[in-house]
Amino acid sequence: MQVHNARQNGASLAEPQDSMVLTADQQIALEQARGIPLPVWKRTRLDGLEVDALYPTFGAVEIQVPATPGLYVADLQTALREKPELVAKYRGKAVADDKNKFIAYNAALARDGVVIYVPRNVEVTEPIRVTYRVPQAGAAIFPRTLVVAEANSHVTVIEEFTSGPLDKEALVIPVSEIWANDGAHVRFMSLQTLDPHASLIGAQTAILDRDANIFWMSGAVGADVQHVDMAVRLTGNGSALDWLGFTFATGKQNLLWAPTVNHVGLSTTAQITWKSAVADTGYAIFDGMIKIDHSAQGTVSDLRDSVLHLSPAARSDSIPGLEIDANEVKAGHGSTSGQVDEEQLFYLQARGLNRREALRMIVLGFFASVVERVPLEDVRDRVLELIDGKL
Amino acid sequence: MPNQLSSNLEIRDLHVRIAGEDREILKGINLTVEAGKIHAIMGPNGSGKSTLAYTLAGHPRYEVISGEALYHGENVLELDPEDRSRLGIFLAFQYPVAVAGVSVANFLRAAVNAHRGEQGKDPKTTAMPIAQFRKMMQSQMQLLEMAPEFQRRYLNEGFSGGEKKRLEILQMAMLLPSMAIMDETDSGLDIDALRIVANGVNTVKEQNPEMGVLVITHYQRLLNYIKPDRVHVLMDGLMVREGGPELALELESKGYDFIREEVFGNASS
Repeated sequence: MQVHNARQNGASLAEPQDSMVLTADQQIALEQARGIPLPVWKRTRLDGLEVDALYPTFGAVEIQVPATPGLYVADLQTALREKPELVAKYRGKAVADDKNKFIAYNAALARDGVVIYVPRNVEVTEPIRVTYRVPQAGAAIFPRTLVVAEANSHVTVIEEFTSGPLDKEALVIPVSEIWANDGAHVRFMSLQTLDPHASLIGAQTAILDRDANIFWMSGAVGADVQHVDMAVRLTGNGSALDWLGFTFATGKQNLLWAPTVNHVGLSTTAQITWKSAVADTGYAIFDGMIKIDHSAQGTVSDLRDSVLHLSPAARSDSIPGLEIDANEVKAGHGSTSGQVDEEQLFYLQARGLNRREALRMIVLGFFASVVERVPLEDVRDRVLELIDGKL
Repeated sequence: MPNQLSSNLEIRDLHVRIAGEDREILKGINLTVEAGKIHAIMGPNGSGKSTLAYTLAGHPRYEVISGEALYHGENVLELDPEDRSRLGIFLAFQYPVAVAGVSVANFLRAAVNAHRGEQGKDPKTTAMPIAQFRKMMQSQMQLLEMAPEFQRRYLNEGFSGGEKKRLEILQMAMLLPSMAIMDETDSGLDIDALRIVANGVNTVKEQNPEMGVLVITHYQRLLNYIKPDRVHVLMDGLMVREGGPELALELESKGYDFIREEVFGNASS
């Protein structure tokens, strides 16, 4: 395994490995990324990230596509050759290339990726599955997912960031951009199941046109550190969002989701429901924000998050925010946090379940009341299995 | 069965307080609940009825100061709640607990299989086959006049008082305990719900004639439907009176005060 030393400041990634030849533009972008200082994040532990020791790599994407007439799905390299205008039109337009140092690295180095283009009126009935797998310890990968759903199309994308067992650090820096045009129905389910040596720092944004709607599921059970900035921009009148998230932080995991919902169009709706559990010395952060622009009359928006604490040393922060600039809106938010109820444990024990089984049932139930709203049975089952696997 | 492994529940000189508090709530209870018989405990509010029920089931809030409760040769007060349940002791809760995200069917299945499990055996080999479980659940639900969609609802979440108590009886019917303790099962029930619940208890008892039943109640009303063999009166943490079913009727007409006066004298009321 070849490891290069960084040239300048301590936060630079090692030189790309030899097989990864950069174009002149990419070389410039890489230099720019190196010049950006590390972000200062209060709730994301960056000091454990040995960015210098990681090397950029690629070849980490697996794509499963259902046969559907009109549907275009290709890995990023192929799409850049076959549909350069399409990629140029959307790539980097929902998530800014210079959003932060990590995203700038993605903009410079992204090789692994998928481009999904669903033409007008095309209904893709089976899900498209995209898996980004860290190939080995020490690697940094830069996944790029681009979904463009044209008017009145239907598509489901299941994205997963994963790895086999790793014995030292790895880094995943993903960017996902989703465009739902007029009346499109998009279901986007993103799962993070990395080995606890790996970290993930990324950004995901969806932009919805008139009457478009998106069901979005965000789930994290893996990684040492996760920091994902997410945004949904409800620009089109009548667009709608249903967003479910869950986190289970155990060991010393530090897992953060920062979803922002921006209401721009008239009569848009959003429901955001988040559930987190923390155990051991795990730390889960929900940093959510609803922004209602002056233009967004008739908005209905609601944000709920709840946290279950399974050990006294585990931590969580919930920072739900609300910024309202319109006057005809219905908006609310609420957070709850608590421990497993001793009365519930006793009730289940009094029916013959031992304490461990009772606890397992209560925690699975805590998540199940969100997971049951996921429209695909195999995803529901997998999510509950992932949670069960950590209990 | 030899006497030392009696299938009667024998409570001897039981003293109990709330954990962390000094005051005794049960001050030396002696009571034998016989296998196959229905015993009723009646008493005014605050007499210690629910403390007795919770203590027998092993609620951590209650601390046993001294005494024992022997059942099948074991002092059940030393067992974890789940082991008491597996030994055949069932508590129908006065206030059943809601658990979000856990369906009635999944919960019942977990409970049934927990009872079938054996030390050192793979739970998969002892679990009840799913088809058999469904059939059993459906027939018991019919008996309790419960709609089929009930099984998919979350455990006690949003249940009415009557639904909660019916679910307690459904659990009893599924687990077939040998010793059932009914803690104020009649509280909060209208007369129709009371009849359904009482019929449920009687049906389980008919199917399971060796089951001992301890009915704890404030009012005589429930005992019109579940006929007790023996009636015990609990007052201020002590068993103060015992008799046949006629004692319940006497309490109904005279109230608890006449016993209080006889036992404690006028001054202590």
